[in-house]
Amino acid sequence: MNIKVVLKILGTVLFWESVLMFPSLIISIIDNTYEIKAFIFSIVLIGVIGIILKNTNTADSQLRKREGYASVAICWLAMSLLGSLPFYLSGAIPSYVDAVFETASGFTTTGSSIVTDIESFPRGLLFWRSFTHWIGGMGVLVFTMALVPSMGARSVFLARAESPGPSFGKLVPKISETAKILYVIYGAMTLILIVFLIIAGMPVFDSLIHAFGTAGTGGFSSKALSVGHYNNPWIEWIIAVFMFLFGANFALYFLIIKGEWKNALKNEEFRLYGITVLAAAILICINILPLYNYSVIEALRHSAFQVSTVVTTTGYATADFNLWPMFSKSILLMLMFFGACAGSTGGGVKFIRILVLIKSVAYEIRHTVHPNSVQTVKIDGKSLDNDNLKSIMIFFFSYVAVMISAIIIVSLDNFDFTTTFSAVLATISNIGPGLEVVGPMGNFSEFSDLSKITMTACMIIGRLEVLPVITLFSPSIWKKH
Amino acid sequence: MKIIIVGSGKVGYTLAQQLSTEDHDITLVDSDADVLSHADDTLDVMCIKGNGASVEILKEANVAEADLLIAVTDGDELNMVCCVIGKKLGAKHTVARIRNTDYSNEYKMLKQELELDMVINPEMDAADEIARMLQFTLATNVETFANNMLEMVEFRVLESDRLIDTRLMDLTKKLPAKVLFCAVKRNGEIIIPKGTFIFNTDDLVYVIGERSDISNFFKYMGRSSHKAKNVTIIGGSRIAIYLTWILNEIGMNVKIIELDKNRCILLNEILSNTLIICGDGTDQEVLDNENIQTADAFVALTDRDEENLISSLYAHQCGVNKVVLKINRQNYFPIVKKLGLDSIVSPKFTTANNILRYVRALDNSQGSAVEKLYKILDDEAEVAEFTANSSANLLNIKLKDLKLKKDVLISAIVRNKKIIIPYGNDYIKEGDKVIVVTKTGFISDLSEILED
Repeated sequence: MNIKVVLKILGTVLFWESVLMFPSLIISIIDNTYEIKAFIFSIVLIGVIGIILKNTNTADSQLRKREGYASVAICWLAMSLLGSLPFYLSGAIPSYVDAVFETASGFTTTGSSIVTDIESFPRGLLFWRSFTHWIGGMGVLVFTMALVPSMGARSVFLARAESPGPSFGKLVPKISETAKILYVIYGAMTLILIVFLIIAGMPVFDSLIHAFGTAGTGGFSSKALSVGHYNNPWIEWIIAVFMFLFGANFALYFLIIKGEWKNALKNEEFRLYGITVLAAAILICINILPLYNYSVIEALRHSAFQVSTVVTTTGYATADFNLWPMFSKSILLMLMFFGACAGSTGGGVKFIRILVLIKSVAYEIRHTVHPNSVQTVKIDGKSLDNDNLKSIMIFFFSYVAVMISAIIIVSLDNFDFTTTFSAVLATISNIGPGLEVVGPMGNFSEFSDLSKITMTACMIIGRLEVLPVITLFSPSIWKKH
Repeated sequence: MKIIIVGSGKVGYTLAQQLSTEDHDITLVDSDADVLSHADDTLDVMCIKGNGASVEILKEANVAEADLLIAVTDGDELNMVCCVIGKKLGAKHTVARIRNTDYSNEYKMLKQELELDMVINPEMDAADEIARMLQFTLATNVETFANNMLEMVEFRVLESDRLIDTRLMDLTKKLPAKVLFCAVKRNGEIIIPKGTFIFNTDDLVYVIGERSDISNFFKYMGRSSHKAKNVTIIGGSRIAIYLTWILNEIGMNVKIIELDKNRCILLNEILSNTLIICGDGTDQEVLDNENIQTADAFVALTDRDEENLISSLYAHQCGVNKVVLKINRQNYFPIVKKLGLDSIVSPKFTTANNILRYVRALDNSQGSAVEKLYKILDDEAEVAEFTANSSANLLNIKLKDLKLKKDVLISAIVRNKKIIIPYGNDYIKEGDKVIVVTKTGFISDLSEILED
């Protein structure tokens, strides 16, 4: 691996990270709260490291797949380690491990929190905490690509490693243009959401916080009761719908902008996503009807919000689904595993992979019955070749393997099974809350440092979809030639 | 510009590579997934898998908004169909590669009936290039500008040349002909020579001027520039056929050595006045038998680079004045040049270059943009042809008063079909064609040659 190329990319990313801290600093200065110094120090430190690394001389060295993978993994790690400085230095989160957990949870749009009293946080830190969701949702490297088009043709490797889903499809021939289009769509949708929330009666600052959390499908809230704090059905429905929208593939919005409505709606992944969400919302609604005095409107409001928040791996809460019947919890657990669509801001396994796996099984069954039948697995009318199938299966296995390993480590803390399992699932799928102790109204503060480190790793592994991070552990990648 | 390239072979890939770095939006269409995934990994282009002549695929490539469609698949007919459909679907310009000799006399009609804007034939272009090299035996490479009025010639400085140990400004005074030294490559470094420059042996030099002046210049240097009379060609490929046609027309005698018997018969049918020898052109005995030493020029055109290299080396050793060889693999170029063989032709490279020139010419809708762009000295220097229009801010100013950027040389001005090799007191008028030499860095507008 050519380490210089990686360092240069890391430098660029860190430089932008320090720039992106400025809005939070400005808010701190306006409020004149205690974390101003922490922000200034972090901005200067990260900025200086970034500028030094940015000027690494990379003459005649090329970005290849391995450098692409390694850069993305290292960048995300460094971003989380350094992005946590404002929390740690200001003393808001006294433990560095906790601060990194919180920051990684932000960038990976997980939304799991170790903070027990969030409402005491100054607004500058709250803003930074939620802003990491927004940056991490669409991807930091994609962001720098949109701003620094000179990263070259091969930056496609970076986009592939960072973007959720099995393949990164370019919308237009140029990768930097593609990145720009994605961010414009992302930004515009976020803006619309902010306006809607303000109209629905949410305070302006809270609207920003919750819009960032929704857009990145993160889930950090500035309130202890999350979105439930406002007890406003309008706000809940708006956020539920937007979570669903941010959980869909952004390429579809590009098709819609181009006027190709029909093609967008024909997308098989989107259909499966839509149908699953609808079915889950209805089933849970029926299941929890008795809890809400048989008021369909009330039950649907909560079931739809919870389904949307879990399937898109956002993690906002309006109700404590810990108290719901087992059937509802099981459905939610299944949705946690599925995750959102490829090319969205959500986490999890992604519907496209589930779809391919289901079709592969059907194909295998048919092949057993008719051994000589010839058929390929098709998505949207295009057949997938064996490489695609192989990479999806490898992903699936390594995802589950990482999850099981993490469960074993976290189980050292001796929590009950549901807590342990759902905590790991919630972090690796970038959801946020799990069940029982880490349920919507609980948090992750009670875990040991070892578990927190494990789950921090899970969040990054889950966000980057396993392989980029795992590759770092291969000794051969560190060799010079 | 939005450009669709159908066919991601060597030519298609080279085009995509070059054009994407020049800030065009490239969509690459090919039916081979492996070729595409390589392009997708290494180039900033959009790749679409499928048949480039199918309406559905072309629509997916957004042909309606494309400024240019370039069809360079293996099949001539596929390329034609692709361009016809592309044009019907809204592509503004189309370029097709048509290489089969059967169509070579029908280009005019094809262009008209199929509404093609450009037809390229790599073998024909390569033959043209070789013919130019053979006419100028002293030069290793010849490029023409301004409708062939102006020639730019590459040569290597020899110990016996009369320009060694003289400062350039003194040399220019002594020269009997109006020529201008544009660029020099010495020890891998590109130099745009100034007045104080002194030539060394083994420098690779580009000189520009009218043909007669360049001939005089070579005479002054003490090299006689007699035209090749007898040409021996190894390998009876399509290029050989086109080349023979051209050479016969300008009165050269051609002998073709080809291994395959059936091919020999076919060659004899097409080229009835040419001596066809059936034999292995890499076999030294065969070459000796054909008195290779007496040939004025030797051209190696077999399908295999290695064979071309070996037989060319032998001819070079035998003292053949001019040796030209075809090399397909670009990475062989430096090795071959080190062996003393400077005249290399690569049809794919030539094709890609010709299309690039066309694209750059298309792109000049505003300003005094580049009309033709040649890359010389292994792509490290550029020769660009501009037309000065009223937007250029350097009109009617004496050249010595212009503050040019470093490493920029105004090497020729064409006014009213007359060529001016410019000196300090000359100036550029509106409507002039100006030829500028720069180090690579892509100057896209004439005004950009000035210091800011």
